[in-house]
Amino acid sequence: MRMPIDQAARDEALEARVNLLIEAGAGTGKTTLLVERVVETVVHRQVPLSRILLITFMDKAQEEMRHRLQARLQERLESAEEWARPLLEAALASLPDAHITTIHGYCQRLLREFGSAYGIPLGFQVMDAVDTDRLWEETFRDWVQDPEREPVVLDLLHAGIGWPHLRRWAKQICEWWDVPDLNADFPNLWGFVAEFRDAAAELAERARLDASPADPGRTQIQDINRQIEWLAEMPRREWPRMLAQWTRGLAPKGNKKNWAHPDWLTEQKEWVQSLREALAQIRQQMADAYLAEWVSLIGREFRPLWRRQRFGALSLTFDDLLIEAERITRRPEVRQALANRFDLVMVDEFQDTDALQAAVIRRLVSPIGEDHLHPHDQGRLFLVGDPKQSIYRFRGADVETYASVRREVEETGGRLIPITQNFRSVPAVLDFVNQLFEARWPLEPNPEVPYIPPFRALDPHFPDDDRTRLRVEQLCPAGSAAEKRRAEAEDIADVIERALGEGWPVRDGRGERPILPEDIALIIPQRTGLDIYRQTLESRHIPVAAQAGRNFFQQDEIRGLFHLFQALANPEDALAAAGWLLSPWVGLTHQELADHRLKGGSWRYGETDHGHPAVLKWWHRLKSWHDKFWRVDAETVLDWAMAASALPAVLERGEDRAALANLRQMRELCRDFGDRWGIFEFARWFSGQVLDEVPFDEARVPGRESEVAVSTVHQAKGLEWPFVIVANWKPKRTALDSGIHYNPRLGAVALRQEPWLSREWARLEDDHRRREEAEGDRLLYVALTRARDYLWFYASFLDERFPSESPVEGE
Amino acid sequence: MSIIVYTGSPSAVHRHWAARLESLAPRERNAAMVMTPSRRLASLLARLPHTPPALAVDDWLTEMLPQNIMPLPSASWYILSQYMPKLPAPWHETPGLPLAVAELVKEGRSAGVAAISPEASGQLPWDRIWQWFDEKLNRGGADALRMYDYALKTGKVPAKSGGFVFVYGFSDVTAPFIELMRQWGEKGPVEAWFFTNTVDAGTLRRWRARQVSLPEPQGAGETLGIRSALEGLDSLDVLARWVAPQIHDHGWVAVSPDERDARRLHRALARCGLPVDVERSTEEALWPLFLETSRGHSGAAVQRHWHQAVRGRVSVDWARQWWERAMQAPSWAILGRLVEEARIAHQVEWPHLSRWAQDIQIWDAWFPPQPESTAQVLPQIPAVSPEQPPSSLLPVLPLHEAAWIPNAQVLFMAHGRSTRSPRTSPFDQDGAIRPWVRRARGYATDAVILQQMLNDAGLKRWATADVEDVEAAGWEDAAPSEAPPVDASDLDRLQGWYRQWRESPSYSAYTGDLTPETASALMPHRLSPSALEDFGKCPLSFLLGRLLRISPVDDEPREVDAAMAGQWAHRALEVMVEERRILTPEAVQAAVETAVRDLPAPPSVARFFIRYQVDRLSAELYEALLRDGWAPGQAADVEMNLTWERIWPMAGRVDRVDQMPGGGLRLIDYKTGHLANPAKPSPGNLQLLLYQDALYHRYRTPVTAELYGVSQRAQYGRRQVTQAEADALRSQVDEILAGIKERMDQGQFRPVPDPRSDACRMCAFKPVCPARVTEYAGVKARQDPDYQSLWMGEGGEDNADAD
Repeated sequence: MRMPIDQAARDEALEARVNLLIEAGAGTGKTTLLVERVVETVVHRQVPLSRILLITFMDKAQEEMRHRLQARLQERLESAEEWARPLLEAALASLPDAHITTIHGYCQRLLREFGSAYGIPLGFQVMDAVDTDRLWEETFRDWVQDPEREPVVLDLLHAGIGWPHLRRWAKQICEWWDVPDLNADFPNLWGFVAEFRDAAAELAERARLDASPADPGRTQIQDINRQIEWLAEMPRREWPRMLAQWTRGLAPKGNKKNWAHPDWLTEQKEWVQSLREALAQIRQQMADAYLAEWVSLIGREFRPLWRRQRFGALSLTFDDLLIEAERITRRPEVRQALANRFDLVMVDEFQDTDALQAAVIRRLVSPIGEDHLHPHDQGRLFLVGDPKQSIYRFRGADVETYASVRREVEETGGRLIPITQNFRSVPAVLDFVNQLFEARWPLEPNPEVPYIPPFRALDPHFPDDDRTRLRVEQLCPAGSAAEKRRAEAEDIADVIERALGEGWPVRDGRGERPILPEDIALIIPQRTGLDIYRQTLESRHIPVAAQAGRNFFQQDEIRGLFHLFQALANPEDALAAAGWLLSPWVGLTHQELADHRLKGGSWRYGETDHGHPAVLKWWHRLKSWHDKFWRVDAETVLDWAMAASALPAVLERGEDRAALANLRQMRELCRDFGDRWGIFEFARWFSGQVLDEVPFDEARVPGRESEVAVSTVHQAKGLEWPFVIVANWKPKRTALDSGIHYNPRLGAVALRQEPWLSREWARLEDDHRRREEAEGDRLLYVALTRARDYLWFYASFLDERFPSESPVEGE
Repeated sequence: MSIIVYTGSPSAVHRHWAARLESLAPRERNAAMVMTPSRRLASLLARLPHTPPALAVDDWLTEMLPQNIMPLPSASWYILSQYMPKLPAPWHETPGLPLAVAELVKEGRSAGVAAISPEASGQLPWDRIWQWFDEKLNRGGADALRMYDYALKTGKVPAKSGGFVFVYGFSDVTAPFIELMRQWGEKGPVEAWFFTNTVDAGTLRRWRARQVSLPEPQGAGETLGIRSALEGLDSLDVLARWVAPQIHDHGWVAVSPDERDARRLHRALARCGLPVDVERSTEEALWPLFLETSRGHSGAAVQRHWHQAVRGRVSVDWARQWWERAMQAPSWAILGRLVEEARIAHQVEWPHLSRWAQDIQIWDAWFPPQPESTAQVLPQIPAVSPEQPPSSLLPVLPLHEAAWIPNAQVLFMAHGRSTRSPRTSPFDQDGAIRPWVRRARGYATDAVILQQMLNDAGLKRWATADVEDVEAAGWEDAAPSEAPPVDASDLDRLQGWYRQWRESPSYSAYTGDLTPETASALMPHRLSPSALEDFGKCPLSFLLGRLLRISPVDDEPREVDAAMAGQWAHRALEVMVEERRILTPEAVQAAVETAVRDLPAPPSVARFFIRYQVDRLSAELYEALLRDGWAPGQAADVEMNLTWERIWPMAGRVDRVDQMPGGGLRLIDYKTGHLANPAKPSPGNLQLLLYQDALYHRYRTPVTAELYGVSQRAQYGRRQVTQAEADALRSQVDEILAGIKERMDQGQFRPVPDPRSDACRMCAFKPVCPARVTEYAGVKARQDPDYQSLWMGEGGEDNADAD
């Protein structure tokens, strides 16, 4: 076996007695390194496993880590010398209770242990997103309808800020870690109107006398004058809305030829321009003032109330775990208790942490009173990360935290150890990745752009050969998005057929074998347009893994159940009753519904005198179910449907495996929420999910033996396939969504919601754009580095040319 | 007199105890009494042969209480925690701490702890806390500790004179109970049966202890473990299917950590065809339904169910007033009377609730009810006893009771010990408290019992689902039984649904196609322009709404929706013009308020949202009328009805018609949403031109038709069509109408929303629309360009969402 080219760095990672940050590129075996370091610490430093904290990014990784560690400890035990055996045996025995956890899991333990002395509810539960939303909505509705609050809220509504926006922004503000102080004076609208009103009247009169009636300048000033007159006649409460809406018809107009005194038109145009600018300014000032008012009101009044409410219900949100853990770990007495608890604190995927998480972790390995790493407290921190694979910005991950901790480790006497030997991909793939990203990323961190990771080329482990391993395709350059996707999909189907037909060799643990469908993955950045790829592959009889999207509540079988719940809750709801009949649970046609109507049938299932026999059969059932509905649980309603309809039998015959999986998931929801809330509350919740089209993961379909995987980049992280096809790759959307945004780094909050645009918007959007572009590159890096033996990159949506392209064999 | 204690493995105890009972002479059996820890267990044991009468110890203790003392009613510890004096810093702001303290005291007293010494914990003033609880409990109510005291004072024995007292079913014994046993032992024979290791050695040494064992060890117990779901079933179903055929033969009991799990298993058994009752009784379910109705949290659907259940005996108003009165009840006694009043009004028994209503007045000696605590306490009180005798089919018990049923086999539900992690307490580090806290809490006992059962070679079988940490011998897969038979015609029908709708590339009867005869029979005698526009926006929505007359119901809207706001706007404008009011903000507001009175919002809409809409509409309509140059004197008519012929007999109503000073008419159609351009007709944008045509033919005078956007959203815009323009567009409109007619005549009402409009956004039929599955709809749409050609003509852009 060849020694890795970076063996010295790997050895140092196991042995160094200072704080370490292991910067491990894709496929370099970082999990193995983490496990080795634990074993090394247990055996050679004789540190019990109970004094090691290992933080993983996901729950799943936690389990994986535990299994890997168990396997490695057992392996070591088999060949261990006598003196080391008790250490390894003790570690194995304590493995089930080892501190291997996610950061949220660790914070939860901290709060349970220390929190009750600091206002954390005793015996708290962590609310799931559904319960959090429900409690928040209830709390907000009561708060906002309080007579004390009503005038302020009504004023904002009168300003033209819609109720859904106010509610959404309030929710966002509640999710911020802190609320900055915002101050903005409301502009003097009266002064503004007074300033322009007389001049407008004067200019309009002058234009009437001077310009020909058809002149656009004359029409324009008269329109402006009318606008101001209307404004003056309206109650002042309406002025902000009216002024903000006044955005049209203000580009200066007019033709000097139509004017007796052309200079007057010039003068008028300048005035119109000044009005236009003043309106834009006042609109921005109002936006700033409204933003400050709402942010302050929510921050000052509602956030504390919301905290009291959830804490009073003995519940914490997922975010609370971090926020409160960070708060209580500032307390010296808590620091004291934690100071010597762990001899080694290890964090995996450190590039995906944020500032709060980093603060909690730092306090475990630095002296009491210090919030940063310290030269005199070394050797207890072991971080592993790769800033090039930081792709969870949307979830709050902040690669700049990584960059600053990286700096801190180095400046306080710790070591940064890069690991570059890649054990995954063939040289052709690595060459392509290296060339592509060497051109995009600097070799060393650039403090000016801390969100752009430094790049170190990945070193190949396997020898090169003469097979075609890589191809970059840019198809259908002038086509529409759908055409590009169709072209890519056809090409992908061709190459898959060819690979399977020719039995392209792929590596497995024992050597090489011909490729199978499950060796192939189609990796996409997002699901838009995915159907085209799936349909094309299926039409060519290529088995594709049934896709688990986020439209669970929009699936036919689930919508059918929604209709059933609605119909049973309310027999007057004709649409729900008809929806049930049209669903795959009953399967009636529109023709049969029309026949029912023509036979005098009713949509109220209580009325069964006339109608189509198939409808009446179900009406009798619904009537009988309705009578018992209020005394049963949600799962019983599902059971009624499952027993009465042939749908389960049809699905079990293979008609729609995804639907069958969804029904199983629906049963779990019925149990989890239905038993917790009761039938009516469940029906209300279910209705909200369907009608509001709330995204929810579709059930995973148990895999067939062999099929091509379809995966987003985020799902693909940490995985690998022999043949990876990266397709549908569009430049990342980098605009900020409308609404309000807080950028703690800049200390700024901004608003954009037609017609409001606050002062800081451009600055925040620029900051966001640059970081999103950088994340787009990182996503591509993750996608491309999933390939072991073959990589096909379809870049039809990208304009740039790519560094490497090798011909398909035989061409 | 003496006490004999028998200990052994569960199966040995079962066997010997059964033999012991069998050995009793009838006279001895009649004089004996079996004391059990719960009413549930007593009820189950009493069903077994040869068993003397059985009584739960709590029931016996209650009988011993003096007349003026009663056991604490349900939720008492919760109520006490609500009124507990404020704890010192830093605890005083910790949510949940008072309840935790109350529960700790409760557990301590159940375990026989007389007080927690202040030295034992420097964290809280335990002596004062204990004293506070003692004071409350000495005033008419009694907890376990005091009940034992009273029982000891009476010196009574549960059995008849000289009869045996059998102590059976206790997985743990507390100090006061031991004292009670001692007293019984002084007056008659007592036999106590315990599992090995459940009672500490010190206690056993005080009495004659005998080890019982099985004469012939049976070998390892059989175990079924079900760890993973089978295709189409979850593990609970697999478990239920495996157990179902054996329940009657083998005396199964089920173990459930809480009631929710029990219900899950019952439902799984019901799915297997066993006659398990998965419906709550009316008595049980009516109380929470009444509370939901009376609190005003419910919509019309809940109220309807409640009405049906009480058959109109109680009105919603009465229920709401009842809640108000309950919240303002000045004493617990009055609250109790209110509960009784509700029970009588509903004409039900509600035995547990009724008893609670009598007992709760003990707290009047100390503190009156407060609305907040009343609102939280009432839903906690079940209407029927939570300790109902268990179902004979499959009793569901906690583990520490289930293990005592002789010959029973034990079924663990989806959770095992791994899910019952010990609760943490800030007081756990207190050495004086820990022993009895651990003993008093179920999980510790469960762990001991579970270990007993794992080690018990005599137990026949037990089954678990998804219990990871139980090292079960001989895991086996349980094959699902055959699925119930399905009607073949239903199967064909649903397969047809999948094949023809989901997979077929063409439209069918699943996607709005009717026979021409059916379509013809359904068509109304007259069509309105808005109905035609509905077809143009989406033929399927026309079929569902206009022909089949399927109407959606929003059961409990919380806010005023766009449709309702639009109706209010139209009605307010009608009032303004009809009454020729002087244009002032106040006049418009009055008109809007009239509209809201005439067309009231559903009761579920909060006052705040109505107020907001009234304010918004008042401002916007005032602005709109101001911009229009308010001249109601010109109005010849408002809400004018028209009938005419154009391909079909037609009928409709226009918002307003003005007589213009220079001659001719102005037709105004108010819009609160986006304005489409009427000069660019399309199937979804015909209305104004059709009205113009009708008006022109009625009065034979030129008509200028105008859409007027009376809202900020419509930017107070205007879209006009002169008579000359309308004449020029006539053939184009005829062509579109002919296209519509052709499709209607053929019975084609397909889910093809006008691509230039945003027809789907507000469509009420979205939930039943097959076209929402865009992937499939897209395939069909590509297959039938002829049908879609009607919507692909020139013009008609900017057609979104005109209302």
